Amino acid sequence: MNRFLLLGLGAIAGVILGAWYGWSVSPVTYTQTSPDQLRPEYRADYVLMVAETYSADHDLGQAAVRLSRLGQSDLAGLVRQVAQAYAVAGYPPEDRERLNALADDLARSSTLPSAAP
Amino acid sequence: MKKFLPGVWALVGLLLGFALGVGYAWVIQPARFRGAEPSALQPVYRGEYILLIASAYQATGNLEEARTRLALFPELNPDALSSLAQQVVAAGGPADAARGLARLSVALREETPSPTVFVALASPAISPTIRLTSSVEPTLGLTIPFLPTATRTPTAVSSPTAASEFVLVTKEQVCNPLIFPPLIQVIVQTADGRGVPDVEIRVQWEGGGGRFVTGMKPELSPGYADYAIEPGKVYQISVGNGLTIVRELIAPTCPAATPIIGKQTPVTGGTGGAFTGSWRLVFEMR
Repeated sequence: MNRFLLLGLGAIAGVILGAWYGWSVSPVTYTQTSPDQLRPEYRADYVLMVAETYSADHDLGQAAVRLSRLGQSDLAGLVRQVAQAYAVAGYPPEDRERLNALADDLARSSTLPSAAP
Repeated sequence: MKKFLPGVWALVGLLLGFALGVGYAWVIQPARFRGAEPSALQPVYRGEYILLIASAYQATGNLEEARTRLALFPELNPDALSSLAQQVVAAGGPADAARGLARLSVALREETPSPTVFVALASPAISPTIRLTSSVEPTLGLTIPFLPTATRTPTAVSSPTAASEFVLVTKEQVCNPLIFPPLIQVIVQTADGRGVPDVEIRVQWEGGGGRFVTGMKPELSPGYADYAIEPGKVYQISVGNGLTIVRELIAPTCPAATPIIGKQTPVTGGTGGAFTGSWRLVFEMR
């Protein structure tokens, strides 16, 4: 009886330790991901980089293709969301201007390339 | 029947429980996925992301922002950025991204001077070509989307023999501000233009020397090799069996780079925006 009690107590402690190890010490990591799986802050920065590049090259098709990697069909809406989030967070006005300019041009365009698979 | 100590039962239970707990945490109920880091992207997307960082920097000139973004890729030191810029140029990739990469490389190098190139020059046994090829590309582990490596048509290559002769057919200055540090670029090819790998080139300068070999950057050409040089030093190279010698190679001074988007700055120091160029030598194997 005593040995089963010890075995059970050890198992309970082991499960707790193992779960703590698997969740906190060495959690599952994800590799080979795509841009649509980026963390929200990196998705937002990705959108900002696209807007910054667009402000210089004015290549709307290239910007749309890049944004389509984020897996959202409403590209103008996506850029506006980021612009609003940046406005709330107090980011520099030139960032918001670039984002709004890109969103406006995307919204005006009716011949955007389809989203990448 | 042999009796175990009570502690052994507890230990067995602990180990079994630990295995069960880890299995549950890794397989059945893994930690909630909060999104990926850019460094976890597939190589092709990682390449796009890095080029986007460079393009955005080229557009805004905001070094602080670019540095923060590049910090997500610790392997991207100034040497790696410079090498990447040259690969983008060689592959006919987006010019703004290549310029951004080169400018970033220079800006970061100026902030945190990296002596690696000059260490390599001071150590004749170390070839910069080999160092870049072996240290930069594998650690980057990314795919630049437009690089034609995946679709390149295999071509037959020739091999040098002891009797091969090498004739200098082209010697020209290369005034491309994207090439940093300045290089002696050597291309060894056959009469019909096929690159020849494995040709040894000896380089000498006052107080030192080294060797490098063609074919270490096959993405550029099987017959291509380069060696980083220092402005002001006089170099001499010999190819293959040593009978073909090119003397008096000094890194040329090029006029200021033409601004493309209005923000381009000279890549290296100099007066009036001038920068240090490279040499390009083409040898024909006969």
